[in-house]
Amino acid sequence: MAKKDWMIIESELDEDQLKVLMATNDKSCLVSGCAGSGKSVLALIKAQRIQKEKGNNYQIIVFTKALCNYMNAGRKILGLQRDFYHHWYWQNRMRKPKADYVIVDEIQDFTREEIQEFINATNKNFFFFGDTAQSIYQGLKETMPVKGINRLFPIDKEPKNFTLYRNYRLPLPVARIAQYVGIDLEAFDEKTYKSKETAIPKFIRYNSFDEQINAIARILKLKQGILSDVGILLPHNNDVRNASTLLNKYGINHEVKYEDKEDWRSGINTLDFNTSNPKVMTYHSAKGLQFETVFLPGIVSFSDDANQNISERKALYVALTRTYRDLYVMYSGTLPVPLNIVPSNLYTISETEIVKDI
Amino acid sequence: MKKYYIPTSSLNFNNILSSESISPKVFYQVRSFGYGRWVSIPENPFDNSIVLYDELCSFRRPQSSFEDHPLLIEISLDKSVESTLSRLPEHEHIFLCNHTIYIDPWSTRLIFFTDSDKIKALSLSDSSIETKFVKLYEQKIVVVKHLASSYVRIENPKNEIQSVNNDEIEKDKRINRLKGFLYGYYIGAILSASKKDIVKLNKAREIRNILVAILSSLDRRATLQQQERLKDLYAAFQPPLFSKLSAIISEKRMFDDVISVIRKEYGYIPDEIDVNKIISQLLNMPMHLGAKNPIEDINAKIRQIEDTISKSAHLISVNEEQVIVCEDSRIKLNIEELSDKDKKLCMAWVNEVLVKDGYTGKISTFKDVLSDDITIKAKEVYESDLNIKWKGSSSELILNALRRHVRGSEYSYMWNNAIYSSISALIMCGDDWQKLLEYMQGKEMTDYRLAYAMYGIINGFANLPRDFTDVLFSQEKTYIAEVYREFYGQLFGRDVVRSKSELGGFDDLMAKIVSICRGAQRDEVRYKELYIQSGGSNQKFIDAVKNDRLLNKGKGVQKTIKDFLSKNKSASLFDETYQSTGQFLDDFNFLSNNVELNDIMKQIAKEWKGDLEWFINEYNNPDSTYYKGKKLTDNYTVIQKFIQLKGNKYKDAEHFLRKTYNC
Repeated sequence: MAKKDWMIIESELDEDQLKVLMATNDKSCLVSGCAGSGKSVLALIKAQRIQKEKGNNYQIIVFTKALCNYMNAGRKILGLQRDFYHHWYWQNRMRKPKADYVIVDEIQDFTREEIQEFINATNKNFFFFGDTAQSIYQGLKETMPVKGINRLFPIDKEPKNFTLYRNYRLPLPVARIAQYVGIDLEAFDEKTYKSKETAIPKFIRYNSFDEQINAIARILKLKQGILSDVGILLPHNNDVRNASTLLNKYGINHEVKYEDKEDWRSGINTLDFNTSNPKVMTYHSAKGLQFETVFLPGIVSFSDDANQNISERKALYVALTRTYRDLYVMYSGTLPVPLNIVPSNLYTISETEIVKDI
Repeated sequence: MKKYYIPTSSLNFNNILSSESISPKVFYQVRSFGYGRWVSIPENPFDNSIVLYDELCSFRRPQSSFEDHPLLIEISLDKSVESTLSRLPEHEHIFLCNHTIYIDPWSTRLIFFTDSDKIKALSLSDSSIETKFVKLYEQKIVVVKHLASSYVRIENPKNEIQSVNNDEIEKDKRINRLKGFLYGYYIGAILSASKKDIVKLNKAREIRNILVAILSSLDRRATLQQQERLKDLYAAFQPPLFSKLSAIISEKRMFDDVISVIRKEYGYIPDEIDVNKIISQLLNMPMHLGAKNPIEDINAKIRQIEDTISKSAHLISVNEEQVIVCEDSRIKLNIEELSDKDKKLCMAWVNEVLVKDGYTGKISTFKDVLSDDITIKAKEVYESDLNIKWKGSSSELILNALRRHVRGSEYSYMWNNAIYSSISALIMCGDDWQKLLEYMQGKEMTDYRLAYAMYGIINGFANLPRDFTDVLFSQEKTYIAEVYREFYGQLFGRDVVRSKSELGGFDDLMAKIVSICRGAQRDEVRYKELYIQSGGSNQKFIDAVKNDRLLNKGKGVQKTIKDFLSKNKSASLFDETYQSTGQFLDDFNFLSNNVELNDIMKQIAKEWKGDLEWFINEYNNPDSTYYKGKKLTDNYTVIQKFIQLKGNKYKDAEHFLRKTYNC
C-alpha cells in the first residue's frame, strides 16, 4: 500500500472532515460517517497525533481480523508504535487492557456491552468511528446504532459528536448503481460523492462461472502492473473455494481469506496488503476494506426468504461499494434482481471499448 | 532587505508549506490548485491582499475546540518585491500586498509563541501528504515567547484593495506547473536505476507475491507452476558459482547435471537456495506466531536491492542544464539521449498539452482524453514541424495502440523509447508516484526523468506528495541547496538570498585551495568536475578529492588541502546548526552552540553556559528573587542585564550579542 493511502490530502478535505482532524484531543469523540468518508484514515491519524502529542498510551481496536491486517499496513506507514487488535483478540487474549486513549473503528458492529467495555478500558478519552448503515451483522448479534452510544452517558458527559456526510472513496458512477441495491439508505444525493473517478462500471455476461474467472485472469494478465490493488469478492465461502481453484488453473497468484465453519483450523486469513496479489474473499469479509478494482463474479439471485434476502442485499451493497475506481459485475444467465432494474445507461457491457485510429 | 511579518492562524501552516507561498485569500478560491481555503484572522482580514507589518509583535487566537493557534511568518523581502507593497492608509507600520509571496528557507521564519503550539502544528503536518517542507524549514520554525507588544487590529477594512490581481493568479498557476516539472525531473533522475538492479528487484517482488499466495492458498500447497516459477526466479539469488557456471554452460539440462554432480560430490553447495525447502519452511511455520520467515527473507532482499538502487542514485548537476524554463515559461529539453525528433515531440506535449487546465490531478480521470490529445499533437508535430508522414510512422502505431490499451485492449509496445515509454507509463499509472515507479520497473525501464517530469507538471508542485519530494530532500544538504537555488533562479529570474557562508560556491573554494597550495591551480578543471559531481563542498566532495589519483600530478592531493577541505565543509542552512530565534530569552540553544560566541567565551566556556541557562530561567520565572517584576524583556534590556551579571564578566560578548539581536 502506498503511503498516500494513509495520509490526508488536506487541501481536498471538507469542513466536516477538517473539524474531526483539527479537533483538540482533550474530549472523547463519536464520529459517524457514511462508507468512504475517510473514517479509518482519520482514526489512524488520531492515533498518530496522540502518539506525538501525548505519548504511547493508546490502543486501536477493530472488529474483524481482515480489517486489522489492513489497518496494520497503515500503522507501519504512519510510524505508529502500538499494535492494533481485532476485537476477539483484545477481549479474549489481551483481557481488555486499559489505556489512556482508546480508538475503535467500525463501532456499529459492537453490542452495547462491548461498547461499555471499551469505555471502561479508557483512562482519559475514547474516539469511536462508525456507520450504522454499514452494520451487516443484523440478526447475528445485537449491535448498537452509532447515535445510540450517546445515551450511555449523562447529558453533561456526552462525547463530542461529528458527522461526515460526504463519500470520497466511491466513484459516482458506482454510487448511482449501488443505490438500487442498498437498503435503509439515506436519500441519494449525487453532490455527496466527491471522488473524481469517472470509470463506468461494467456488467458483463459470460456463459459460466468458469468463464467469469477466466475473464478475470485474462484482464489481470492484460493489465499486469496496472491492476495492483484488486479484490475478487464472492457471495459465499464455497464460491471463494471454487474461484480460487479456477484462478490456480489459469495461473493467477492470489490470496484467499476463507472461513471454514466446520473446522476453524482450516480457515485461511493471511492476507498481505503489501503484495499486488488479488485478494479473494466473501462480501462479508471485505467489509471496511477498499480496492482499486473490484471484480464481483458469481452474481446470482437472492434468497426468497425475506430476512435472508435483506441480509444478502446488504452484503452485495457492501461488495459494490468496496471499489474506488473500477467495478466489474459478472454473471451468467440473466441479470438477477435488483441489478436488473439498474438503468442500462449506468453501465457498459463489454470488456473493451472500440476507438478509431487518429 | 527589510523584514516584514504576516500574522495568521496555525490552521494555514500546512497550506503554506505545501505551496511554499502565501497568497491573498481570494487566490486560493479561484486558482484551482492546492488548497481552496485560507483562514482569515482579524490581524489579516482582507480577501484581495495580504497584510504585512514591519514590526515583530505578538497576537492571540481566541480559545477554541480546534487547534487554531497564532502563527507569524517573518520574511525578508527583496527590493523588487518590497516596491510592490502599498501602505495601508492611516497605518504607518501596515502594508498590503496584492500578489503571492513566495517564501524560501533563507529569508523566512515561521514563528510560534509557545512550544505547545509548535508541537501541535508539526503533529498535524505529519498526516498531511502535501506538506512537503517541514524538514527543509526545520530550523526556521521557531518559538519566540518574549514579545511585549501586540499587533493593532484593523478595525476598518474600508481600505482593502478593491480588485483581484488576475494576472498574478495566472502567473501562480504557471509557476506551480513549472515547479512541479523541475522537481519531477530531478527526482526522476534520482529514482532511475540500472537494468541489472531492476531485473533483480522485479524477480524478488515476484517471489514475494508467489510465497504470499502459497501461504494464503486454500490447500496450503504450491501449484506446479508456482514451484517452477520460483526455481527460475530464485536462480538470480543463487551464490556466484551458479552465475559463473551458467556463463560457461548455456544449455539448461547440462547446467543442472553439472550442479547435481557438484552437490553429490561435496554433499552440498554453500549458500545454495533450495526452493523446495523454502516452500516447506513457509507452510510449516507456526501460524499463531505470525512468523513469515521466507517472506521476511525476501522482503529483506527487496529492501537491500532498493537500498543499492538508492545508494547508486545519479544526481544531476544543475550545471548540466538538462531542462530549462525559458522566459516565455516554455520548457526546453537538453537531453543528450533524445533524438531531435523526440525532443521536439516531447516539448510539444509538455508545453502545449500537459499544461492545459483540464489536465491536472488524477490522470485516471482523463487518461482516455489525454491519450487522444497527445496522439493528435504528435500527428500535428509530425506533419507540420517535422514534415514526416504520420500514417504508418512508429509514433502513429504506438500512440494509437496506447489509446486502445487505455480502453481495455492489449498493448504490445516494446518499451524501448524514452518518450513513448514515459508517456505510456504516465497515462497508465500516473496517479501515484510509487505505483508509477513499480510499473516502470516492471517494464524494465531504467530512466525515469521524463516520466516524473510529466507527472510533476500534471500534478503541479502544490499537489506533489511529501514522500515524493523527500526523495530529493533526503539527499546531501549542499546538493539540495544547489538544486533549490537553481529552481528558484529558473522560476523567478533571481537568486535566493544567500547566507554569508553559502556565498561564493566553487570559485571562492578554489581560490582558498590555491592560496594554500599554488600548484593546485593546474588541477582546477578536475576539482570543478568533482565539485559538480558531488553537488558542492560536501563530504562526498572531500572523499572524492582524497581518493582522486589524477590530482597533484597523479600523486594524490596534499595533506594540507585535505585538512582545509575537512574544516571548510560548507555550513549551510540545511546543516544541523541552531538558528537564532531573534529573541535572547528564547535562544539558549543558539547561544550555547554558536561557534563565534563560543570562541569569544572559550576561556570561561563552562561557566558562561551555566550562567546563561540560570539567567534565562530566572528571567522566565515569575517568582524569581532576582528578576521579579522586571517587565522589560526586549533584547537590549535583557542583554545589558546579562552583561552586567557577575561584575561585567561577559562584556566581551556584548558586541556579538548586540549585532546578533540588532539592538
